[in-house]
Amino acid sequence: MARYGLKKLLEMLLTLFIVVTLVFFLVRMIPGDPARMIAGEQATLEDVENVRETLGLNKPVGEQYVSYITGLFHGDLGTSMRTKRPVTEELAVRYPNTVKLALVAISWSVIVGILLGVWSARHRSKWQDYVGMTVAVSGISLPNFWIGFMLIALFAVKLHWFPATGADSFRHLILPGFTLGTTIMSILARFTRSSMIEQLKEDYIRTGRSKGIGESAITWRHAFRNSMISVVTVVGMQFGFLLGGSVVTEAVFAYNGIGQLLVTSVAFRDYPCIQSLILIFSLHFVVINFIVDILYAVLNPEIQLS
Amino acid sequence: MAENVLEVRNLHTYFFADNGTVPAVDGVDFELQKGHTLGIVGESGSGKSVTSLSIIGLLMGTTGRVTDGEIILDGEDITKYSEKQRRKLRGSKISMIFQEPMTSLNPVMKIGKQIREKILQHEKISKKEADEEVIKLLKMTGLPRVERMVNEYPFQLSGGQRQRVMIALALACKPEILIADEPTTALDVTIQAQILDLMNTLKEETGTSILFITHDLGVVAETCDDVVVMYCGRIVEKGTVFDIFKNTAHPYTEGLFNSIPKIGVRAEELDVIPGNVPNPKYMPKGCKFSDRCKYCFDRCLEEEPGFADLGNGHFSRCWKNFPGYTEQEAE
Repeated sequence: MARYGLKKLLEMLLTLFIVVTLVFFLVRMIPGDPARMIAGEQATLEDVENVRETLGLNKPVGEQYVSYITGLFHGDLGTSMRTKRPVTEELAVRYPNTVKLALVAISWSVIVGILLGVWSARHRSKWQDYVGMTVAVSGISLPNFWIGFMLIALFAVKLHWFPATGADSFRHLILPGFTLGTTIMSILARFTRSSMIEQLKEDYIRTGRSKGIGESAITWRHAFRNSMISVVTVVGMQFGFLLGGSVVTEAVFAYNGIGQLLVTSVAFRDYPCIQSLILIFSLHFVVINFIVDILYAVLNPEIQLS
Repeated sequence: MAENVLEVRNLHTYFFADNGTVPAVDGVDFELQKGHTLGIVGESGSGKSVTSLSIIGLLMGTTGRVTDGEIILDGEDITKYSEKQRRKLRGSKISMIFQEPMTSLNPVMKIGKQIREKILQHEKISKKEADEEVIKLLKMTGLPRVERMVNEYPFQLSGGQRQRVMIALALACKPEILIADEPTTALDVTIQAQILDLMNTLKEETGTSILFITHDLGVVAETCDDVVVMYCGRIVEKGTVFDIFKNTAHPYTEGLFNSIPKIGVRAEELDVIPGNVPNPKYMPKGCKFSDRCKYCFDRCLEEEPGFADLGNGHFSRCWKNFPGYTEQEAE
């Protein structure tokens, strides 16, 4: 097991290194010149040259790459070209904000989505199923900005239950967290439903029924665990996306997260910021994949024991 | 007169699909005697599996429903029972072994727990006592290293071992009736023989009556006391295993026997029954077997025969078994 863990860890580090390298060169291929953007439309060529020198962009790309990688090993993500502040400082508030929001969104959507999916599957083609799937389809079809505005109009403006904007307390997380989770809830409801229906058709379910155990034991003790084997992958993926921040939801709730930062950074060709954000995103996926692999083994003894 | 543990009277199980109703079981009568093995024989689509699912009450999740008739267990018609009452019978009085041992066990639950779950459902005993019972049951089926096996998962066992686990599972709670739906079809021949031996031995030991669903007449000869031959949802012939084999009356049963390859007889072609089971929507008007029967004559096309009583509980649903049938009629 320890050897397996070590192997996985090395794989993860290698993946990250490849991503970091690719992103470093790719962002420099995006058309547009950060020095020109910072200096402004009217600036002279000389001014632009000066800016370029301050940013260190006049050095050969290879040299920039080496100093970037060396920096990374010291926990230095570089300095934002746009704000002139260290990227770590830019992330200090926004990143935890995004993580908090993602946790709220994933928690409620996983619970509600999976329950709704199981409920629909158990009452397949009956009214419960139609209600469940109507909710799920609505969650996917209604755009997040619309849901966000409606929630603000009702719960912030009219009822004053929750603040409309900001990220200062847990109460600030409710409306954006709900908005952000709707799509994932719907995806999980539909996925869980089809996975459960698949399992409920299996022979071992008939064996279970022939033992005389009740339908809820059939559903939860037998079909549920088997159907979760495929659902955990989807949950992992969705959580990864959530941790990347959300441009729309953050904009609607004026929420200070990394989704907004990414858009601004790309617009300004803020290389260090873009690189750091993508490094974080890939770190998320690498870690989530690792956790999903472990959950897989926990759920499926065949993987665990081989 | 032997005691009947199960009587099936005029059983009708219909499937209701969007494109029509299929009478999978269409008026079936038979009785299972205590300690006996009754074979239900027929090809795919004859309604033999649906009959067994109707008896144990496992039609949920399908569009099928028992629409008429009685299933009498211990003097009570269980078709009148609520789903909750039926569930109490399942596993405790009626158990079932299925065709596919590879997929019939939950892949993510330990063997021991899958059997224990059933015992705890029906008997008021502690987990520890149930675990001891599980070990006893598994040992009874001749499985090796049972103490370790209870903590293993189905994928760690072979097909034959899994079917033994299924038998142990079915025999837990000492059911009066064991339904075996083609329990050896998916196994290779040597394992098949072992499983049949095991079932015969356990029947002697436990006194359980067995309803044996199969298409294999060889298996019938080895295991059954009485036989029911089904075709298109109806019984075409029933009797003791001796009568069915030695005094075969119905042309369909005869066809089944002829389609078994005979050792020592080198035939160019196997003597199979021509055609297929008719589509339920285009069922022949008279005798349901008439379109495939080599003895078919006018009356067969017009009118479906009832049972001809051949004595000693041997019945056949064929015009040529009635007294008064003459060869001329066949011309």
